[in-house]
Amino acid sequence: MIDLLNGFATVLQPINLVFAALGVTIGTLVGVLPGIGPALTIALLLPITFNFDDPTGAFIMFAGIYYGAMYGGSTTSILLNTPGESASVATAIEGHLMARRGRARAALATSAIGSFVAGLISTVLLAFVAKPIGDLAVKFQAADYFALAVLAMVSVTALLGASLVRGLISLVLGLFLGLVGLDQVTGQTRFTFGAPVLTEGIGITIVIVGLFAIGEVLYVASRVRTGHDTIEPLEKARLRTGYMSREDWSRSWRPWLRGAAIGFPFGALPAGGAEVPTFLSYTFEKRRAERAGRDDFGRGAIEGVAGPEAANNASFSGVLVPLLTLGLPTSATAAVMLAAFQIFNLQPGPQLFQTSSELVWALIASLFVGNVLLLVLNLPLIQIWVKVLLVPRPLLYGGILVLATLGVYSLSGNVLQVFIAYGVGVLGYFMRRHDFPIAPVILGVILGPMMETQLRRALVISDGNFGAIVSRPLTLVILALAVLSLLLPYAPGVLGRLRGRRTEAKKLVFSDED
Amino acid sequence: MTTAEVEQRTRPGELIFGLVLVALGVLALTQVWAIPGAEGWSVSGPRFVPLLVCAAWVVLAVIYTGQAARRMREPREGGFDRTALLLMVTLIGYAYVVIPLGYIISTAVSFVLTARILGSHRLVRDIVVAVLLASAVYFAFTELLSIRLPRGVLPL
Repeated sequence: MIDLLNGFATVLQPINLVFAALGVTIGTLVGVLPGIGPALTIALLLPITFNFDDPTGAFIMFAGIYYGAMYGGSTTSILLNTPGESASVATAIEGHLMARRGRARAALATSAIGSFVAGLISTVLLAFVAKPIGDLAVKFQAADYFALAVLAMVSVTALLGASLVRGLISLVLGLFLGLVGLDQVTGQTRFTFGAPVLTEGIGITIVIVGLFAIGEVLYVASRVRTGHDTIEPLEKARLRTGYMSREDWSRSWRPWLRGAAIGFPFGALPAGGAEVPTFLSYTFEKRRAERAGRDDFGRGAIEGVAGPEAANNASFSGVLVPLLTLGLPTSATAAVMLAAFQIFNLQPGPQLFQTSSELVWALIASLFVGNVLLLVLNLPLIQIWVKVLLVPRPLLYGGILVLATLGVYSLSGNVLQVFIAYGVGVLGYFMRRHDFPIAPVILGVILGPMMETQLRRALVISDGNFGAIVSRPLTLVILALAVLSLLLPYAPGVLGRLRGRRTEAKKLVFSDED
Repeated sequence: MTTAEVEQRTRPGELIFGLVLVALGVLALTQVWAIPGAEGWSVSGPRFVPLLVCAAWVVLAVIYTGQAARRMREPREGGFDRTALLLMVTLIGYAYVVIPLGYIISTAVSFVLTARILGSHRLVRDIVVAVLLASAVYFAFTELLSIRLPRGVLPL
């Protein structure tokens, strides 16, 4: 508790508050643009944070950017019905219906306040859970880390996307990209095809910018002229009608709490991410309304916005649990954050709480501050964010390409890296075109090298004997869970129904950014 | 990903993507042998994991291609690769000229081209936005963040 108070002391310094406010504003500004989710927002803005000397300020800004991007994403989903990431799809269903009935303000308010409430609750949970898990994780051995990496990659791959084969191909491509460069153990060059520029490997930020920013724009570009996806912003007049009424409050607060209760634990699982908890929350609220004899789901029910938004926000704190304690990113956004840690030469994991305790607690405290700022800034400023939605699409996507190129160039100072990012972008374009999920690529690039190093370390210890690795009970259990998660999507039941709803919603165009 | 290939894949695109994946996978697999290693094929050496990954790549790509061949359905939206191709050409051209011409000029020009390719017909607006955006980014990065961007031919 003392640690957390110290964290607040750090964050509440005026300069850090400025960073947090700046982060929330920029995050919302970019996140509100159609088709751009938090992962892409953070990737685009990553270069800015590299210029910080002190990682604390950078991470405070990062937390702000993330919350802003998430909130901006729900604004877009509600007003335009174009969710920028799969976590907002559930929100978009009822939220857009509310907006069309002239209740956009209430929908936006319930999502902002719900995010705030859920964010506070889940950050408290994070503060209490992180340290014990970190202490527990100190006992983990190389083989366990290997198994955990396998579990995270496999479960995300299995849960995302339409086909397992495509998901696994995405994963393998990511693993391959992660292999390029110098072998971490022996220093041999691998897959460099004789090109010196590849010796230092393909940086995670280059892959992220390439896949998300460039690949995304190419893909959207190829559809712009087909007449799909035409966007008709709602008239401003509709936005003026009403904040939340007393009835809205009384119908919202329970879904907020339930959403937080669903979001945090699901986010903390190795299968991480926000899509499962948001859809669980949506389904749950819908079922409850039906049982209570109400039929307003499908016509803009406020519970259908309040629950999923709360779950979305809470799951982010959940995702931070494995990220901070085990160094295990379980969503694309977490992967970008891990990349940011590595840029500051910080290795998330059990030792992080010992070596950089101040930074971790400042990060956790900045989540609280980010939540508060989000509420303070966003409810009054919504009119401005709505204006951002009116940016013409050719300019918007042209701008994204400019910023993406700039980001890669300013990171590396090397035009060859820009070409690599373009190459990855072309790959991303074809993957999107043929319904390959993108998140497994990112996890493969990030977790692949860690998985390989830990596996080889474990194999050296056991004299090259696989049996010895698998015979550790903990390792065995984790690997068994990985196999189970591969089979799970085929099992009928809750998950099957969830997936059914997802395809029903038909809004998974930019489906797996997070 | 060559020009010819992009143009070809308008109809049986999935199948071709699958075949390209298989080909790239085989290429990657052959490169495993190019990894120098005193340990040879030891499971804890530098070749073992690459071998697994590349082998899995080839196997999965073959399965995918097989599925695609069986389906062989019409692509959902065909023939719009021209836009993506033009964008790609613009970007590559951009990366080539950004150092000699400088950041502002090359960025502004490629922004206008990009907007045009994406279907904008308001040239004046695009040019104004392009020049403002490129200059703003240039000065923000060089002056505020002290990141060096190519100055090029402009006397700045």
